[in-house]
Amino acid sequence: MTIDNAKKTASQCRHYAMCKIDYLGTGLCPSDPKKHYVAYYPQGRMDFYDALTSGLIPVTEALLDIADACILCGICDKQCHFVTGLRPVEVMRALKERVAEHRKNGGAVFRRFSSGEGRGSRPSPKNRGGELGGQ
Amino acid sequence: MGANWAANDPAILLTYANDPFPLTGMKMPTFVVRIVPFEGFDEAGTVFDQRLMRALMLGLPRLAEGKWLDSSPSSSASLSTGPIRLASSRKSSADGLTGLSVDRGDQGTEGRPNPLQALLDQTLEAYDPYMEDKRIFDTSKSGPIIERRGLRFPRFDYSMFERCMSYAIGAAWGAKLIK
Repeated sequence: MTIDNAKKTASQCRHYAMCKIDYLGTGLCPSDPKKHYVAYYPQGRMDFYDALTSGLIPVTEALLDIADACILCGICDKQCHFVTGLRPVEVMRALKERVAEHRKNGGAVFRRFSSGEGRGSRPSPKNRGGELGGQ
Repeated sequence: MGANWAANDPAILLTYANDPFPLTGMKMPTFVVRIVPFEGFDEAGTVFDQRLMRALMLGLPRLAEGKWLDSSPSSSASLSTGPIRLASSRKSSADGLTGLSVDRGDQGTEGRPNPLQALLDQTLEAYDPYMEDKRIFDTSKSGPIIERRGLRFPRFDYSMFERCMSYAIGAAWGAKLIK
């Protein structure tokens, strides 16, 4: 699958969220479910891969962590294909390849507050809202 | 609060910015906050737990506007209504946030839900169509044929659904399409 096909697949995710439910008895995505954020599920990776390749978000610390957390086990392929016909693993593979290329080229990594910095404070006004325009 | 509590990384925010729908575009939240697991919920994160956390996160914009803060003249503020109890060093905004906890409130009387249940019900209401199984099979032609032979259509209940799914998995349904 080409990068363009991976992006096309990623853009077709409709958030059915079947990658968050073990309805096939094949287990859930093992990439650190204790973090709970949607981004750590295939649905989230599909979303931000599409956004990343569209230039809506930069490569960030969390993005690297989430990409690394995917072990390409293929569980999401069965779950998603069973319901939607999509195959997320190719998107996950494209994401990991893109991240590896970014690191190889010494690309910049965008950073927001991390553990410890956020205590008793909040993001500065210029950081609030992100690149898409805050609420 | 820490990255496991709250995040403002665009890669995480983006996944809460969009739910595909033709009439609305993306709206990037300022931050997302998750509530630490509490008594009665699986720390590993059950589906219900995740839905609950999403419900609580959806309530945060009101919290940030200060609408849930009481007006007592004390130096600290706390949440007066709703299921999220906020501990803050100020009473006019979320500045100085020192902690969040879940306030289940009193158990509802006369079958009425408590504030936490009400918020959860309200949040999940939009997902009801996805959680219901109201499949309709057209039996106008097959019905009379079946009835003439004294047979009845089986009810499509969960055990039937489970049997169908087990058969599909056992028969490797769709295997040719997956590497």
